[in-house]
Amino acid sequence: MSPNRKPMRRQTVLEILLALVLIVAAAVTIGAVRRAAPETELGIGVDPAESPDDPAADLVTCERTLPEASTLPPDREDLKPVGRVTSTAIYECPDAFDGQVAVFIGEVVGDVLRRDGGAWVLMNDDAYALEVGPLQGHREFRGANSGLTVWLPERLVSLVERTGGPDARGDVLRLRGVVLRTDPADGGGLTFRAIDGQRIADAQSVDDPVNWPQAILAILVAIVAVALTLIERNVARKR
Amino acid sequence: MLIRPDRYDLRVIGFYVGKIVVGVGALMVVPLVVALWLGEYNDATALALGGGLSLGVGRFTEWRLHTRESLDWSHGLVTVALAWLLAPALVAVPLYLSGHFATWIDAYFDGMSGLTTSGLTLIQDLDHLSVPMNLLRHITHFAGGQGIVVVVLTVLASSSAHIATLYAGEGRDDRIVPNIVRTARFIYLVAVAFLIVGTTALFIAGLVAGLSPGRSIFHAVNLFMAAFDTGGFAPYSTSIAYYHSVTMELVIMVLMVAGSLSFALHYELWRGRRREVFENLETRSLLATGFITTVLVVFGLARAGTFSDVDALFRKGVFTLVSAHTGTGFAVSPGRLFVTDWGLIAPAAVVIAMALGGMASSTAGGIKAIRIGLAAKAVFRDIRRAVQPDAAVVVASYRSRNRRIIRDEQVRSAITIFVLFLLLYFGGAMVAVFYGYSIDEALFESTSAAANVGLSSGLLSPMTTPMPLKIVFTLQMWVGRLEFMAVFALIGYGVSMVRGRT
Amino acid sequence: MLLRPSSADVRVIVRVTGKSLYVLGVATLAMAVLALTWGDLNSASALTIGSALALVLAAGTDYVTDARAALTWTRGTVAAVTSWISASAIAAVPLYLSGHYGSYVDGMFEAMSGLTTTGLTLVQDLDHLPTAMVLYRTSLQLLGGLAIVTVGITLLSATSINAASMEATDIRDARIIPSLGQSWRRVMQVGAAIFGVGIPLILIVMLLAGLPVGSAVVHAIAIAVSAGATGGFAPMSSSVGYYHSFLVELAILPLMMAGALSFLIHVAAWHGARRKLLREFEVRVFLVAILAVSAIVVFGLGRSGAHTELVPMLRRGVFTAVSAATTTGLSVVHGRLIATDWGLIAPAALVAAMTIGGMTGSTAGGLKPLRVGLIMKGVVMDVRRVLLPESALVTESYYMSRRRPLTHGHVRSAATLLLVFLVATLTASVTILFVDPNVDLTEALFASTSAAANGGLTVGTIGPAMPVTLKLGFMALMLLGRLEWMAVFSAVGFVVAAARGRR
Repeated sequence: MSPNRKPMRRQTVLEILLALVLIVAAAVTIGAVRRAAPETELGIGVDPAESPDDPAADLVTCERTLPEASTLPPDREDLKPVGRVTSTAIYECPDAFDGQVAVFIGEVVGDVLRRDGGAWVLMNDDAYALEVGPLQGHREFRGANSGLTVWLPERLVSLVERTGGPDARGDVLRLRGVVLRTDPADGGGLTFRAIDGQRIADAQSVDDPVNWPQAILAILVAIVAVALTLIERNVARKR
Repeated sequence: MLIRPDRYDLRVIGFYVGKIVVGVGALMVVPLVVALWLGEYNDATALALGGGLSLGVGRFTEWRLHTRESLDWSHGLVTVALAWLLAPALVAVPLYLSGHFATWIDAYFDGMSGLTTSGLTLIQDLDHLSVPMNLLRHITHFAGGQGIVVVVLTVLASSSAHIATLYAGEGRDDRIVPNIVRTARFIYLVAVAFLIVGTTALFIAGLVAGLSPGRSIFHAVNLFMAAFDTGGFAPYSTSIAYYHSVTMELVIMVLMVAGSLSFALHYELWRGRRREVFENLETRSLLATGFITTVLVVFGLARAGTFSDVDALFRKGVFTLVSAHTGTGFAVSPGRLFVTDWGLIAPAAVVIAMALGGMASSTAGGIKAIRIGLAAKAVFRDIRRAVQPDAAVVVASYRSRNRRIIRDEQVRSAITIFVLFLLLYFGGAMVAVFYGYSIDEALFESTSAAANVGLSSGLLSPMTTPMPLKIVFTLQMWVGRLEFMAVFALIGYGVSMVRGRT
Repeated sequence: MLLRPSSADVRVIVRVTGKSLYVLGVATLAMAVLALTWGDLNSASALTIGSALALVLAAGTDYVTDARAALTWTRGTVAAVTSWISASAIAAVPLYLSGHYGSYVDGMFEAMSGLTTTGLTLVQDLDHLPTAMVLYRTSLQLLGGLAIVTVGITLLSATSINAASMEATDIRDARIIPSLGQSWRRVMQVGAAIFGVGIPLILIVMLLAGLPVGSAVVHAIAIAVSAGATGGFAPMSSSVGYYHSFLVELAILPLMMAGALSFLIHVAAWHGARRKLLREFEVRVFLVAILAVSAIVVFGLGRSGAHTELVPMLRRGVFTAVSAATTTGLSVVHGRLIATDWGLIAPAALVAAMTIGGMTGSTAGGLKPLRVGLIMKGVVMDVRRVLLPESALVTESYYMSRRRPLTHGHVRSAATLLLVFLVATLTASVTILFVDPNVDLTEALFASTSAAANGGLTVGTIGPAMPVTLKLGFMALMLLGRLEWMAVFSAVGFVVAAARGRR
């Protein structure tokens, strides 16, 4: 610490206050240039996952049952589904859905992991998938993603042509299959093994035009920053 | 009585914080380049804005507050505390502009989570996030993990005056090689070496899992940074369950463990001193707690009936435990299942593993193995003394690169921080309980935040978590990362500014 | 390596244990005579058997020893452990014979709970328990309380792990402890003073509450002793809620506080140095803790919606908070309600209160406010050291009858014990979860803390239906907590050394 200590002058306090004001101003400006209001609505008329919406599913109560190894049921065409299931309902009470044949509707996002005679995909049934579309195209905040991991046997892989990502809402599939609480093929993970299904909505691109106010602000700030860097270098060299 | 800081103190602190802010700007360069290359212009401008802001503010501060004064201990701690408060704000700028965060607090939370290598997230619609923004999130892990401070100082440092204070303020009190700058550069080397090997391994694993080569590179790079820096962000909302691949999970486990080992240990391994590794107190402590918690988890899962075959117990149970103990936070099951499907003992073991944490001087969080080891040794020594007080003086020692004697001061400090961490875990849990969540979820989430782990029980959600609770978790991540001392120093500084003697 | 104990060691230990059993025997005999005067022959016979066992064993030890060997710390602590265990085993006999306990283990649990002034109970049909037995349980708490104060002031120290390293000014020769018998007599005097005032006080308020004279006398004795010895046993199953009387609750509060104040404070207050008491560090920490916990409990009660009016909230909240902070264990609400109706904040505060506990040198359990305070001072010292210039000398001190410097050793011992306490409680909780899948986490934590801190409040987990292993586990926890952990470790070491040590 320096030998001659100077108390805090009013100037310092003012400088600190000024800095705070600038920070608030910066936040407000940046907030203002953020993307504009929603443009496209990508709903397909299917309710996203909220709670089990099928009367048949209501009859299922959450009970802890004794451990039983989950086995893969035979791929029988005539198994009747108990109804449509949603990802949130299953996570709330996995035991109740273990081994049930059900209908699952979701958007395919990310990658199609092809191997072992089929493919693993992630299918979301949240609002971004089924109601408002990816967040790139609008500003309706609907929380975190929710979905199920789905195993598609080889014959169903062709249902997926384009997956969802920053630039698109992916293909929406309606699948009939089995919910497995601990799928041995996934090392015990909770999966949905598809038996059959169809694509009910094609992938749709999301329009993300260039945000000009943001771009202009960015250029301005960049110029100021470079200028300051050069000034500082200059001053440093002179010292 | 504390002495009131004067203008020179503030100036020194401001100057070094400015340097660090410039470094934060550097973080955004790579995603910016990627954004331009991919044609994502909005992301590019967002990143440019963030980077420009950081660069501008930092350079401005360096210019106006230039000083040749050196940092002393108190300056160093306060600088670190402030840096870890400010940097997330700057990272929050491009994140907020990406449109995936409802409010600034959410974006700041993710910035803090990234830089403290926690891994909890308030992002919305992660599955549709653009590549550059995803990359930015993971790069914050990398930067935070290596210690923003250290990074900045090795790249931009001109004088090595008292850089030691900044380094130790981070909670790393282990000097590997005598020269601080060389230590930092060594850390860099290790990181880069692992980067090359690790990314390649992940790339191959990705191909095996069924990803296309281009996508596999994207996943590999991101996953490496999150795994080795024990962060926990993942490119997709289902975390590691996304890949359904044993190879991937194995490679990641190796990387997580490597990331939770202290750099001193890496140095010893590098030099080929394997015996040292196993006699080290931290290694032993970590092995012991790791073993016990793993057994508990596996047992708990089997007992609750969650999984019944070995494969599942290993891939889901052991992986999650390793992820928790190393402070990474990768998940292979949806978080909600911890509460609804894992019974009571397995999540309890996971919480304990999270609370204990990895090694000091690594990117892991939690109480840290060295403290656990010292505390255990001290307790045993006291018990021995109680058992035979009339006998010869009992001297306890431990091994950490050479045999050292345990001093009262070390034990006191270790146990105090142990207790402070426990209070932090419970305090955060109480706040969550106050807002209506169940104690199991609350304890899980609070420990995950304060120990910078990143596993979530589903409590933390962008739309339903109340704002004050988000702020509490953010603060927990901050305090946990800095291991209390720097935070106390900052508070003490503030207090003394208001009431100290001149 | 451990040295094998010598025969002198064993003789001293046996002698001290014998003395304790003698006291127990006499007390039980007194109870037996009382029962006889009431015509309760069954209780009288049960108590006589218990008393006889104790006295015979005590007499037996008289023959074994004749050494005038001195009492060192090791011998003292091992003797304490053996005394408590053997006394519990013998006191369990009349309880078991009364027919109100499911098994002998239950009886021993009860005896241990009384002798460690915990207050957890496994009794069945308490509301129909014969008066003699009620008073017998009460007397166990009295004996246990007086005993622990005696042991506390001579053998246990809050500032170091074992008294062998206590400051030289406290004991002239660190190896020789002043006679336990002498301390016992002094403690009894203070106890007599407290109960001499307490029992009549409670008697008056009970009469005012409407109890008939006969019951009022019995209840007054039972409750006054339970509060003053910070025990927790009550004559009826609804504990203090039975009286539905604000006055009774109000009268019990100062008794509980008195029980949790250090014995040395009582002596000092007796001699008139009252204003100096508030300068004592531990007193300050204790008072602050009680205030804070009461506030949080009341707040938690309000928030959980258990009560909507202020007066009931204050009455129940403050009473339970003080009961927890002094580790008494008397309650005004049914224990189960604490778990089901009080939300989570209030029970959490109660757990914290029990953990901190009452002052050193009192009948209260827990970690002791002195240790908690020393740890906090240690943190403050660290922060100051960081912020002041490197050349400054940083010291902290605390006031305990005079200003003393805070050393690393102090903080280290305190912190170590805190750690041991927390780890033990957590382990116990996990074990409970493991053994009984119906219990949830908060209940398990509450129960373990209540046992380890000798609190006595229960949320319903502890009952006769518990598995035997849990009962034994809780007994161990109660004993460990009572003798502040290290003493028990010392005893274990003694046994190990006897088995395997070198000459």
